[in-house]
Amino acid sequence: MGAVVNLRKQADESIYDIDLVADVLVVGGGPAGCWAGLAAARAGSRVVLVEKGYVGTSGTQAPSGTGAYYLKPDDPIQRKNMIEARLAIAHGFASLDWIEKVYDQSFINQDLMSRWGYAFPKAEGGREKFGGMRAADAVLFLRKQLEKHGVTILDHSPVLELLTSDGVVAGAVGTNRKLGQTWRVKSGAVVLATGGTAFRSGMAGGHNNTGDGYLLAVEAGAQLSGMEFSGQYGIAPKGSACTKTAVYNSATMRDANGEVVRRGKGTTVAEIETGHLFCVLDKYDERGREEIQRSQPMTFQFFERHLHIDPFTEQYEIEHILEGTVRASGGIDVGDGAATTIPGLFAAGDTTSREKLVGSNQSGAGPATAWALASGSWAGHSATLFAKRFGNSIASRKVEGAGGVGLRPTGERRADLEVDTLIRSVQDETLPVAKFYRRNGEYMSAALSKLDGLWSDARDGLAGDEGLSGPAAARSIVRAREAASMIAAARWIFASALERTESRGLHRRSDYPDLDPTQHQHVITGGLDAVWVKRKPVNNSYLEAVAS
Amino acid sequence: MIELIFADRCNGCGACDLVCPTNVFEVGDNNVPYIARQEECQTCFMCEAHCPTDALFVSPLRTPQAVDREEVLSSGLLGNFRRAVGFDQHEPGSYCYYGDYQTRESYGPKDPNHPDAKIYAQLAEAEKRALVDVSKRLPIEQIKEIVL
Repeated sequence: MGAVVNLRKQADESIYDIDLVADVLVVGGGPAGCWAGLAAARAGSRVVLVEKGYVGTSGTQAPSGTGAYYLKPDDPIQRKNMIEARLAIAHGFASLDWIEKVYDQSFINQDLMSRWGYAFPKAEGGREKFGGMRAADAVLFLRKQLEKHGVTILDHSPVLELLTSDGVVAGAVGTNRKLGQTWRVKSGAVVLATGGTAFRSGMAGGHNNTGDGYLLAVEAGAQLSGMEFSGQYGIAPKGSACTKTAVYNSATMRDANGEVVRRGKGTTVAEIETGHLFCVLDKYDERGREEIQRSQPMTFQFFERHLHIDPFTEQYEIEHILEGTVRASGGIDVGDGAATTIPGLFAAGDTTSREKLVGSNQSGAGPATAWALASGSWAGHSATLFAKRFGNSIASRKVEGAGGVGLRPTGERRADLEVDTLIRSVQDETLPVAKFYRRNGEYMSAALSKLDGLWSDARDGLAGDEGLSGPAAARSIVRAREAASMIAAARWIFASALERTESRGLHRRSDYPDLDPTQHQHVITGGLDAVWVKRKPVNNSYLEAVAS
Repeated sequence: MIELIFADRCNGCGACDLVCPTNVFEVGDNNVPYIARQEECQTCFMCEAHCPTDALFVSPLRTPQAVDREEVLSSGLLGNFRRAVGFDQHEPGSYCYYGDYQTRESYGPKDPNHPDAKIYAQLAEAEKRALVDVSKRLPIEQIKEIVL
């Protein structure tokens, strides 16, 4: 077991327990990261994939299982329906040709999975029915394919910072939190596939999703888009971690006064206004009950293991918990080929903005999974093309660490900056449905100024505990960076949400309750000590088509 | 959240510790894991899915709760998530539908009254499924761009 390196030192010293060179480094091992790794490897790259947890179980897809939208090459009606499925609620941001491109790519990826042996169900007529990325097993399947493609996987290995070389992203440094080892990967390009963030609301699979990718990207100079589209709450049985929502389509929901509440906005408002929400899954017939229990094993654990009731006949309490950018649409601004605005840096999946796909509304789960597959592949492919220019010089490039807050405090480490307390302070502003679902300017200004204070404290004195050693030291450094990432993510969200003085999709303002047609622009944000926002015009073929 | 480890059922394989994405476990005496950092647990059930001896119990709640060991043992629920995702039938992440498709005659519990029989019934159609040889597949047509 290697000694823990003081990461405040120059990052280019060869002092790492594991020191690797790759053409493409992929950060994050959910569906998007796996596909980035596969695409890069298939395009001829040497690939290293690092994952904070374990590739196959980590991330929000693995425990839940999701559908993935796709377009059938030979079915014009299916294509039209799929492309237009969520167009109406995209509020003008989604782009028809982009949607088509994403879902076509999703088909290609799923076809490959099928060829590799992933068993999609068969539909009537014996044709395979794509779309089903089963819980526990789809990402593990992709892991096996990564292994077959010769990708080097580092599990339990969170990134601490990106490396840059003359303004070009050139690798990353991190630690192994089980072994306490440090690692460095110098690479020709980096793909971030670190997921969205739900600020540790407790949603199943969301604990590692602390918005690390946003901070890593912005530290390298990249920008974010649509962070105000983050007010996404999922329904869970009260106290449960499971936000799978299929069952609520066949339920009767009532507020605290016994009034029936309709699915959609109504449930959230009812919970906020009356304090409680109840549910009974009374709209299933016998066959439907059997089917839903088979297809949603996670959902029904709550009744089998905890509440011990029959949810089809007995009422139980439900509540909303934050799913945030995991299931909303804001994230790192990427263009064609999943390229960020910084050379050498690409991004895929939930960590990126999905506005061009689903606009200002929720991306989960069908579109987001399709996007993970497609953007992962594009990012891996683009990163390979980018890395080619460096030939054999990747290993010899002079690199420096881009990481700041939580890693390299400007002053002495402050022991009073307790990570759990910092995170709770962020959560106080971002988790409560009564505040964050429908926001007002006063609350957000106060929240932002409080978060600016936390950021300033963290910049001055937040770091891992140097008194520790081995895995405990590694965990301590990772936790400090996670806290920094969550503070940063919340600041970009509130800055963007203050900028958008209207209500649109998942961004709801009580002081600006209506959609304002003049605000049909993207809100872009970035910056570290000083957070900035700006507007970016929407490049939208759909609106153009409608206009003509 | 993870609540219980049944040491007497554990075979010390270390799978839970390996696959836990949030680093909840440490391995103790006789390779039996213990819950070292429950507060990091994200209720994803992945440890249960990968435990070959059904020696773990995850509560569906996202906060700690008191759980009665004897009650859990007698409930018959241990391992139901693993069975629901089929990991009792095939190696996790290998070819997926329930068992070795080349050699198995059937999959799922033989007893129709088994608590998980209905879960397997959904997959009956997979038994008829024959994998198409990659080399015999028709090329994908009408796709504008292939970047893979």
